[in-house]
Amino acid sequence: MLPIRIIPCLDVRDGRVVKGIRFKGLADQGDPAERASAYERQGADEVVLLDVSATPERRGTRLDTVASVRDQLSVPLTVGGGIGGMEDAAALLGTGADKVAINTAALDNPDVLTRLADRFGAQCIVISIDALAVAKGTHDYEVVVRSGTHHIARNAIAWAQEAVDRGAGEILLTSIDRDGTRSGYELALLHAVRAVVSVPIVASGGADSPDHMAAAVANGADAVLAASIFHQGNHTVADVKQALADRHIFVRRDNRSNSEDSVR
Amino acid sequence: MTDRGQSVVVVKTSTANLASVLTGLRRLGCAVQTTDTAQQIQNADHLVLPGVGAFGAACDVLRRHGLIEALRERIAGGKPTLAICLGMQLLAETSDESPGVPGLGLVTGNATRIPDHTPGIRVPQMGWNRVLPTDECRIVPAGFAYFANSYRLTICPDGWSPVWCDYAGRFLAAMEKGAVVGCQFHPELSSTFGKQILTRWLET
Repeated sequence: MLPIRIIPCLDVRDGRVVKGIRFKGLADQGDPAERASAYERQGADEVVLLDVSATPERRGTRLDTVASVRDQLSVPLTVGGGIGGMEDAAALLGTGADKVAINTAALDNPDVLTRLADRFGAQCIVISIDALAVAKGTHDYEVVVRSGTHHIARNAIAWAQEAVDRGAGEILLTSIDRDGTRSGYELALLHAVRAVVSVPIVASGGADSPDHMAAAVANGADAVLAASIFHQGNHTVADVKQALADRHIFVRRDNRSNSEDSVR
Repeated sequence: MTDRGQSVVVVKTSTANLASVLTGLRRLGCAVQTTDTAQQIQNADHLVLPGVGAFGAACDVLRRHGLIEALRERIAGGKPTLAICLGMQLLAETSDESPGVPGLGLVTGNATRIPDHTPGIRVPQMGWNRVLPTDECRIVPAGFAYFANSYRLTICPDGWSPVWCDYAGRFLAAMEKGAVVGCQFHPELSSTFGKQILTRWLET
């Protein structure tokens, strides 16, 4: 088992970090490079940068933002948001992304996952799935695209399986029902996807506490992504790792003092 | 920190992501350039052989550009060289990822796939894992390093000092021979732990 990865997410629009509730009502949360660098110092295992406005407004993901974050960051950087296909992905990987998270483009043309994995390796290719419960309280999930504004009738679990078969090396699994609500991850969704794939799963949408993260781990998450709780300063990454270690979850802690870097 | 303006050359193995390696070295004060010529590979003070993507494709690029002999000579001669991730596997003879394609063959060995039928094991290995150097290692310390790989070497070649790691069995996280270092993990993505490795290597 690897340590559970703690991943702060930077939702970026026009070069600024923003965060809203269910992808709406975005508020300014600072400079992406400064944020990313601060999170690395706190012990972030990785950083995800999502251009939340790119798809609806048909803008390319902003390469200058990626370059400025890369300059500051020496942990892995995943970039998503409006990646249209091979050329976009190649440009992002060339500018400083270590992984690209593909969403709409893969639904439109699933073969793009295979071509990306063949060219760059599966470890660079993340399938980003935004899932919504078909009806409140059910455990039936459909895929949502265009940053949550446009539904598509596609079963989320089946899509996860297909995307991995086609070459995705990781799943970024976001519950739209939970996104920004601070009510915890959608555990049944995680559990269902875990049952059908063997690649790492990053849980996303709804985290407000280490307890939420521990619950995601218990349901098959290899990494937990969160935005609001880190941006608003309620928790540092270090606090969260301490709390998870107290719950006997394996996390990476200060590399320079190797004697106390893990529990178990 | 290392000397300002120390020169490092990074081999362009493919269209793969070089930005993390380049910015990581620049943050340490290095003057970094990329190359696809045998002459620069021979002459570089410090050379990085990165690698992302498939074994066969990377070998093919090196062969097409006529870089194989230059790399072999340089590494056999012990000039400071850092081979990262797939770059480390390229030093070996073969890989199950691309059967029939010869690597540089500088060390004996074959890269094998991580067994993914083990409970709790995901493939690719994606994340931080604890590495443990043997006593004779001079560059890689103990600590957590960032990995993103589906294949790995499991046997340390003769004459090299191993750094071990465990993921569905023991594998070679890194190997050192003087100023030549192969790292299966990514020092450029391993935060302060990785900076320590890059700094020590730049001092060789």
